[in-house]
Amino acid sequence: MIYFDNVTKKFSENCIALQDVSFGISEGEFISLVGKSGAGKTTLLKLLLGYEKPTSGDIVFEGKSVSSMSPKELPYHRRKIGFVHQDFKLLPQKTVFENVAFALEVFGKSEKEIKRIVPQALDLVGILDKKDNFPEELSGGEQQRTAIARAIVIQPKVLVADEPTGNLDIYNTREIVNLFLKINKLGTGVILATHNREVVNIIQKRVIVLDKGKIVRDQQKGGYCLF
Amino acid sequence: MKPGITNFFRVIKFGGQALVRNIGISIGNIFIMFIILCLMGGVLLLNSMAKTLITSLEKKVDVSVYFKPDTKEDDILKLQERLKKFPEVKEVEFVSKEMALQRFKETHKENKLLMESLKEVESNPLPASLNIRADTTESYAKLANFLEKGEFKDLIEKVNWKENKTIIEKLFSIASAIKTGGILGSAILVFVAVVVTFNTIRLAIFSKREEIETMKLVGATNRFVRGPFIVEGILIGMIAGTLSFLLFLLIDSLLPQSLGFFGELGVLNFFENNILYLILIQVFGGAFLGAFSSFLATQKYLKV
Repeated sequence: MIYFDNVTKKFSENCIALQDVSFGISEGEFISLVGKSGAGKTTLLKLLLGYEKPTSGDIVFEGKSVSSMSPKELPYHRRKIGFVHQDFKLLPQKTVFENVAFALEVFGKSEKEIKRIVPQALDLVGILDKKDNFPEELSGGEQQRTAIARAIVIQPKVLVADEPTGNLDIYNTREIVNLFLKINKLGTGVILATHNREVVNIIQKRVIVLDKGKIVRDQQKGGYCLF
Repeated sequence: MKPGITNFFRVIKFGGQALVRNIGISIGNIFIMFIILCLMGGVLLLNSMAKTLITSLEKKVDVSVYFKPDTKEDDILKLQERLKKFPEVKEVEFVSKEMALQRFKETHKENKLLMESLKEVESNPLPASLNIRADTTESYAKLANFLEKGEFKDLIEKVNWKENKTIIEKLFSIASAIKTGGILGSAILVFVAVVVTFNTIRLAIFSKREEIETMKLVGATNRFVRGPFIVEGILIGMIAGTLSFLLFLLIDSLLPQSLGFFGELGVLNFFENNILYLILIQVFGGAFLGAFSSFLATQKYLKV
């Protein structure tokens, strides 16, 4: 479903974020993308979402080249991917319900549908009782759940998470990881970028290790190991 | 409902929501825009007042040609026709001896001494005259020259051009200074207004750049992200415009009815005659300014 074909991304001559990266992801697969800070994990995800264009190579999503999409096509491409960020990236002026609803509103879904679907997503991540609160009234774990609900409410093909547990304590981390596994079980693919050993060891699924922009390990069922 | 229409109403709802939920920043923006619109409205009013003042002054400027007592009326009318053919001439009024006497009596009816001496003279001592109005000072000079040296010079007793020359020239130069000054002043003020409003709105949007990024992340199109900001800009502009319009109305109602401004020119008349113009400029001008600023300010952050 997703294929990185010899992708290289240079920000300048001596700042190479990714070098000749090639790998494929099939539908519904769970991948842990592991590496130290600066290994190129975030760049890889940004390339997939079309925020950056590769210096060479191509990223193919459902048979379409992401790097050659026009600015008008990109919003429609992004709607197939749920994105969860370390900083949650919630809209501060909107309530939990409205934040999740926003993802459906950009689709042009009707109010009736939104009222039906959003509570289901909030229930799935276990935050339905906070639906009328604003983000600043929530704990970090609750904010991340809201962000996950927003990402899955559009029923994406794949859920992309960039260090989703980076700002969370160990208890919240476990719960969030379990949530990702649950979502994966329901059929959504997950790409989880992390440098957290605990997270990878809980998951026990395919692990791709990046180091200095290169893939150094691609193991079908692995634990945490940087080399 | 079609998704397009649903989203149109959503954009309006989000714009209003942003205005209310960010009430502190909104009030600040409305206040700045209010001041700007008051200034603009004030300058526009002053400008149109100055224009009316100038026109009424220009109407008062004329040159009179007095004829010798034995001049025939036919000859005077011939000269009148001739003068009317000059492109610079706006108006030529013929005042016969009788009309001159009547006007004299009218003006000086309070002055008994004058009236009595007039009775003693028995015959009409006042000459017939032509009152000429032209468009510029140069035209008056040209006309005076034609009258004093042309074929009609033998009929003419006196042209009062020389006596009036200084004051006419002064008046015209003041009028043209007011005109250019007004245009220049308003142009500068409008420019300042646009820049200040734009910067205010740009700062407000700058503080929301991360939200814009998040919206794009979720897959919102540029239109869907920008729409609410434009609606917010329009609302801010319209509220500020309405407030400044209400302020003008308040000033209007507080001014005493009798307040005259340069004689026949009333400030009150100005408000009342220009009310539609004022609404248009302030409310819609404000809305346009807000929308346009939001449009430009969001441009930078949409390129994700």
